[in-house]
Amino acid sequence: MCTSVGLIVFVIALTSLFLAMRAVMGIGGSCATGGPYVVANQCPRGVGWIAPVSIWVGLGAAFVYAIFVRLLPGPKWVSLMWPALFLSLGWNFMEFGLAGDASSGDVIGWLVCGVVFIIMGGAPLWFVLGNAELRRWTFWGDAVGRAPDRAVRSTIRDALDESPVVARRRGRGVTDGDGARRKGSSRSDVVDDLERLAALHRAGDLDARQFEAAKQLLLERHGQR
Amino acid sequence: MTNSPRAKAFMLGVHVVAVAVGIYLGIRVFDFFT
Repeated sequence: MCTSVGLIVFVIALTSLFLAMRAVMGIGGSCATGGPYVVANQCPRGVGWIAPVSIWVGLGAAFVYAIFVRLLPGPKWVSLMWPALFLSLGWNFMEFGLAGDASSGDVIGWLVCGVVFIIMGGAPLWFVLGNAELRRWTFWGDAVGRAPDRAVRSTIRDALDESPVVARRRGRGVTDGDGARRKGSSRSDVVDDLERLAALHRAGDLDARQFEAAKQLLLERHGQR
Repeated sequence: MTNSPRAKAFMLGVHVVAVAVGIYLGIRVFDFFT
C-alpha cells in the first residue's frame, strides 16, 4: 500500500513538474509574480508554487517508496526515478530548444541544458539496463527484510526436515510411501534433496543466493562438498 | 508475500498501473491548480 501510494505520488509530482516547466518555457522560459517591480512575464496561475512544491513532494514520495518497496517481490524502480526526472525535463529543454529561434541565446542555453540533462538521466539508466544484476533487481528483484526471509528459512527447514539424509543423521528410520524402508545409496538421497531444493528455486521460493546457501548447508550436513 | 514469479508479476502489474494512475492524476492536478 505504502509502495503504491509512494509511487503514485512521485509520478503525480513529476508530471506536475514536467507540465509546470513546459508552461514556463512556453512564455519564454522565465516568469515572475507579485513584488514591487513591473513584471514582464507574469507566471501562469499556480505555476509559481507547483514547481517547487512538486520537487519536495516528489522527493518525499520517492523516499517512502524506496523504504517499502524493498519488502516486496518484483520491481524496484528506485533506480529509474533519477533517469525519469532528468530525461523528462531534458526532453522539455530539447523540444523547446529545437523549436525555438536558433539565433536566440535562450534557445542555445536550453539545448545545452537539454544535453546535460539527457546525459545525467541517460548515463545511470544505461548503467542499470546494462548490468544484469541491477536489471534483475530493478524489474524482477526479490523481497528483502525479516518477514520474507523468515518464510524462506521455514521453506528450507521444511525441505530439509523431509530429507532422508537429515533424517538418517538424526537416527530416524526413513520409509518410502508404502512404509517399506527406503533403500539406495546416500548419494542418490543427496541428489533427491538437491532436486527438491532446485524445484523450490525454480518455483521462485528460493532466489539464487538462498539456493546456493541451502545447497551448501545440505552438503555440509551430509559431510561432503 | 513470497518471491514466486506470480508474486513478482503481480507487483510488476501494480507498478505499471500506479504509473498510469500517477500520470493521469498529475495532469488532472495540474489542470485543477492552473
